[in-house]
Amino acid sequence: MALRSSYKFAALLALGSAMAACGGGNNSEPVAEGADSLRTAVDPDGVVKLGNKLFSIPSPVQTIMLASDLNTPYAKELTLPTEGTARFVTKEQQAMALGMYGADLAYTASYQDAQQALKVLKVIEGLSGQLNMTNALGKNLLGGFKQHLNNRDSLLRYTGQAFRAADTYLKSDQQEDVSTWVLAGGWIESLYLTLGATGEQVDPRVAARLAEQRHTLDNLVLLLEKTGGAPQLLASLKELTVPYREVVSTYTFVEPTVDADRKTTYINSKTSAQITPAAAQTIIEKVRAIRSAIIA
Amino acid sequence: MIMRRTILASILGASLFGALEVNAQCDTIATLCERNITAEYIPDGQFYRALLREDEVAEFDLTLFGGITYRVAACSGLSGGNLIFSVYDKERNLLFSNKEFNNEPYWDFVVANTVDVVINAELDPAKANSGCAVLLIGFKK
Repeated sequence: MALRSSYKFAALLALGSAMAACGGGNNSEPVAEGADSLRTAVDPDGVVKLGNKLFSIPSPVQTIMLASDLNTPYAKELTLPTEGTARFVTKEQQAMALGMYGADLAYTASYQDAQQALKVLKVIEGLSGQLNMTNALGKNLLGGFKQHLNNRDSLLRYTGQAFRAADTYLKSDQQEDVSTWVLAGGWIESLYLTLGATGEQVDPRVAARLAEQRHTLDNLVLLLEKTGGAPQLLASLKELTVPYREVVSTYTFVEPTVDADRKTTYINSKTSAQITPAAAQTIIEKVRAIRSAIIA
Repeated sequence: MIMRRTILASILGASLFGALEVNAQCDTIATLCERNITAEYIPDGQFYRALLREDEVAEFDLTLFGGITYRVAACSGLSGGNLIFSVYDKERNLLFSNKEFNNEPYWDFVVANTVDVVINAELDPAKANSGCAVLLIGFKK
């Protein structure tokens, strides 16, 4: 009887897998929507689900591009040292470091410091090797970078392409946790670089950029909770959500404009996010502390 | 005992085969979808996918930052137009749906002010009843 059940189970599993692969599966209940219905599950087919919710963390390239609007001077010393990376021993540390160096690469490329960018690239190559991602990340990035060293836009594009290739590889290889750690490292480092040398007086534009990251922080916490690992980072990010609760945002819906010929929608809604100087300072301190803890 | 091991191996094999097949399906779709993120856009470095069955909806949370133009490409299957994607603001006002434009596989969004949005992606029931949904995002200033 048990044997017959096992046969049935094997047959059903095989059939289910084949149907999912061929696009014929219909064996699941529709997923309830909304934040309250979040549930964590890993499908037998390896696609991780959280109530079918997906989260986006802005790429370091994007955050660095936005920061460049602030006209802050380039400061190479803000980037991580390119020596001593042997201290990143665990997979978790290596993945977060990879994300951080990815942000540094975007930063150095954005300010067209090709020499430093190549050094950072070398570190990324090493870390991607340690994470068994050389084929997914290293080769794409190296080839593209070396050919376009003097073209800022091309460098940023290659960075984005290479990190997407790495993300695709990690998710396809069911390493969602590693993918999330890379994103987390990149996010923290790009925020750190955005802050630059900010002291007690916080530039209102920097404060605004910080405030805009509230939703991203919530997404990152959810992602880390979903994929697991990095308990210290998760705890620190949860602490970071506390001062972020003081961000006051207003939103006014304005009808979007559509240009169908150009396949373009203009989103005209107005948003403002404000934060008190004290809360901004707390956020800045915590971001710097989290970054220090990761690279310690 | 040998029979039990054989069954176990079959189960694991079938499960692994299924996972590999679905991943391969998603990867193929992503490769095709990436063509929509043309050279003027910088990829956001992430690969978003969800396995959808029937009327399931994948919900995708993101912040669109002011001053940036985004290209969102949404694909499922080997041909364009299988996936419906709709963009809502946090008050659930509909900002865009490709359903109104023949399920266009990509669309650009020029963002004046930073806005938190939700993108819902679902299969067009007239074209597919299950499959891997892939979302890709590129941006430019």
